[in-house]
Amino acid sequence: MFATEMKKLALRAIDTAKQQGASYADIRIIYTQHESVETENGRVVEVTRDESWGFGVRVVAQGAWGFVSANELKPDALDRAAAKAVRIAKASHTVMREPVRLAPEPVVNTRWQTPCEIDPFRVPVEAKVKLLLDVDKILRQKPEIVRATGNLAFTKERQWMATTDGSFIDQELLRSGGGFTATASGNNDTQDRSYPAGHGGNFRSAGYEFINSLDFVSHAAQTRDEAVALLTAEACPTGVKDVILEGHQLALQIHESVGHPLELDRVLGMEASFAGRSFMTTDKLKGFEYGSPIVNLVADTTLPGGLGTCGFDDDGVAAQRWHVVQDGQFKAYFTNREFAHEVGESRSRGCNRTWGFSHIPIVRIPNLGLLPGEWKYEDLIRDTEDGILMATNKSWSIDQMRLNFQFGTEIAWEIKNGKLGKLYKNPNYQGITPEFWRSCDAICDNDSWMLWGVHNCGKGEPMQVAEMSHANSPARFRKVKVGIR
Amino acid sequence: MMTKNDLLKVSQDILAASPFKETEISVQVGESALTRYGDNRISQNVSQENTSVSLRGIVRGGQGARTARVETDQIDAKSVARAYERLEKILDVLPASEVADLHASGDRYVVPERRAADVAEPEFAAQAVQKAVRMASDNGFQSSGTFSSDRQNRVYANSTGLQLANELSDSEFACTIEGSGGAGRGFSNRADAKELKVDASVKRALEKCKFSSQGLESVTPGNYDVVLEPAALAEVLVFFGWIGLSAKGYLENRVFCKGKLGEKLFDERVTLLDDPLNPEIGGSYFDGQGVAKHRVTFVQNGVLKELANDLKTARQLKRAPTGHGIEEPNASDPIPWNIGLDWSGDRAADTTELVSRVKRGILVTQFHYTNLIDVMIPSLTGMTRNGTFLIEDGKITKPIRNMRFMQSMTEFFNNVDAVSREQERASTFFGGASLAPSVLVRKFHFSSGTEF
Repeated sequence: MFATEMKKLALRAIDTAKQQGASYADIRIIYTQHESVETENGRVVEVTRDESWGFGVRVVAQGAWGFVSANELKPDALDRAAAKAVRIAKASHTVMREPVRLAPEPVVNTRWQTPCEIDPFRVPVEAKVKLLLDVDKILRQKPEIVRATGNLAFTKERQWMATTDGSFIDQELLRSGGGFTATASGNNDTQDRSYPAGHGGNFRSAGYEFINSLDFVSHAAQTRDEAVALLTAEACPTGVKDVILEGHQLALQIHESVGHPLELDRVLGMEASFAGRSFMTTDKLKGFEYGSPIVNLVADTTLPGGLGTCGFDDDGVAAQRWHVVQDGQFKAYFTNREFAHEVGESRSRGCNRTWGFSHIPIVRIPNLGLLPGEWKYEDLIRDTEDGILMATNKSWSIDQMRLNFQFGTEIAWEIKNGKLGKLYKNPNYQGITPEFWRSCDAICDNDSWMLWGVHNCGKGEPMQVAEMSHANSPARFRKVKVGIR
Repeated sequence: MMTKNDLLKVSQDILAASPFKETEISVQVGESALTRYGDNRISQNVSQENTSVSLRGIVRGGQGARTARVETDQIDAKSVARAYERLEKILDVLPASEVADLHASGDRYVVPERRAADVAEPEFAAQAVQKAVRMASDNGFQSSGTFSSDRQNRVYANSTGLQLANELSDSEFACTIEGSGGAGRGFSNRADAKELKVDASVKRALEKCKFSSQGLESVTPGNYDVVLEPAALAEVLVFFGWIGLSAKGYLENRVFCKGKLGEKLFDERVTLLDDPLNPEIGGSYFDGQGVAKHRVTFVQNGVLKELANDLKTARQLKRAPTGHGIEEPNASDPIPWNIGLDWSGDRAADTTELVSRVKRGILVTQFHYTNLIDVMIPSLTGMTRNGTFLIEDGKITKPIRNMRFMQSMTEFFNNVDAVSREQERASTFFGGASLAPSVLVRKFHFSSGTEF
């Protein structure tokens, strides 16, 4: 019933666009529910349940793009928006090089939904508050902890997309996640330690079963104790060391130094003024050694639990899986229907995504994982003579070609003669992207391979936020500059 | 788009519909347009209308007080009623906690007047972009950037009778020109898109690109005297406001200046302030807690005089709120997003005069992807971009490859040596903007280079 009504509205908008002169049009009507719970130092600082409704209509007219979004779901508002989008496209036409060419895509009429065991919106708020306050109590059992924060967040997005090609796609995407942080103060210093990841925790396309699997309470004491221990830890030494990166930090490394450089819109200069370009110019399709032969990076929007997992992207292209780096060699970009032909591909890889209803779809990093290797984690530590194990991203910075990067992590441990040693605070490392990936000589096996969600990836103007996961197991990189001062 | 007076009326209705004795609302409607270009063509062209209704209720009873907030983007009475119902359900199950009274300034209506301009028409924006594309392509270069404009009406109201309204507009033209290894950038920010300096921005980007495309040289990382143009300085200033001035961080001993209120931290010629009422900044007249904004001097002649306070931290520190509060309830730090630099020493006329005072150093057009290294120093890292040049004997002599900086901000504000009279409003990578001059800073640290 609801879907029928949405379809009627959607078709009306794209029909109006066609009547106004659009050669192609699509529309996304989106209803979003968001719930978040946040605690700080023993009190509930936020519980919210937000809702939004709106639509974004995108057209090609005279070979150029136009887009209008609004949140008034009435027929006359849709008509006005569609007509305005065509007018905008005609203005775009005046500064056009060649008409937009969309890669063909089969027409679909379908529904897709994120698999979910426990609907987080049916879990009582009291249970969520209790979980976070239980963790909070443990975190603040030591006087050095000056701030304990915890958060849970859930988003359900129902999308109805229609295109003038004839597709109608009804999707329901669900994301759940959270985490907590202990901030310790003392010894003229302050240090954070987070679980299961920094920057708000870990997220998946899943229901409340993911929160249950994180087992917050069991990890609270160790998180607290590590924050306190960091206050008196030695600073990360300066020098060249072998570095083992653990899950969340390796996820950020993949995100910044493989994900963004392979977004084809960026490679073509569409992001040049803001986020920048990419060193991965299209001539590198002829052959480029991105990493060592053990490095295999796979994009996969079908991956269960991945934050970028969906039935269809915002071009209406079905989810796919493909190698972007195979045995160390560069293989393919992230594409959409508009740019696929620029690299000689006849079909989009399905990477066009938008932030809610109000933004235009742009090329985004999909789920992108480092395939597991053959090393047992304990063996990798045992095999490392003079190294540093770094965990949990704290900060990141990379140049606009995605070459010179520097990352900081919350915590690190010395590895000496195959054994984990003393704790280091304020660890960081710096490198140049292809040199770094070529120095990867060991990747742990499937036992430690897991998904890490990036739920705050900013790109585009106006800025859009997208989510994706970077599955990995710990990996070792040889001769890395650490302790940059 | 709804007018300010219409929005005030709607807000009164929304407030009147509240089932709570104590209610706080924020209602915003707006529209924006952004024309984006890259590779010498318009690549995206969007128009967005936005509405948001944010409702907060407070319930007080025998067991203590509870508060929460919900949002909707539908402004009709039925949707607002649904949002209030959601809020009631949340408040029914929340544990009690300490909840302060709503802010009551004593003014029933405080409606500051500032002229807000209309959003630019798409044809007008396309004409501006065409100039950039033509000048770049005529020289064999690629252009990219944005022409954006935005207009927002916002009302804050609460059940004490306080009601505040804003009508703001903002616009920006940004132009990056690249080619043959070179790059340059120009930009202009104004309240009215019709007043944007499009030609001058394109010319500036083109000149830098032309000069830097003549072959880049590498310089050894290390300490250099630098001249930072306004866009580069703005990154440092806004970051400093973000990580260095939170009163909440001060109370929790997690900012570099903990316990140092009233102490001299920087060169005595340095004053750092936030002046949202300056029309060139174009900031909001009130914060998320209904506190009227005003000019705040955080550092005066090198001495830390003030912190960014919301209502809660102001009570704890026994100071006045500074207008940097975020909608309650929240766990966020109050942050000033528009820090400016005032300078009581001699001023150079412009960037060129600052360059003339450098024996050997580096001119930086812009920083990219700046981020925090250590909050307690505090120190930052980031990359240069869009025109980095070697200065020798007071003159710009060579374009150089981009460099990564690693810099203590305490040292930075102690090593400022001269400041230009000319200043520009520059927006920054992670949000925020500053009305910033160019500065000459001694011993600025670069830690590594890159390939372009």
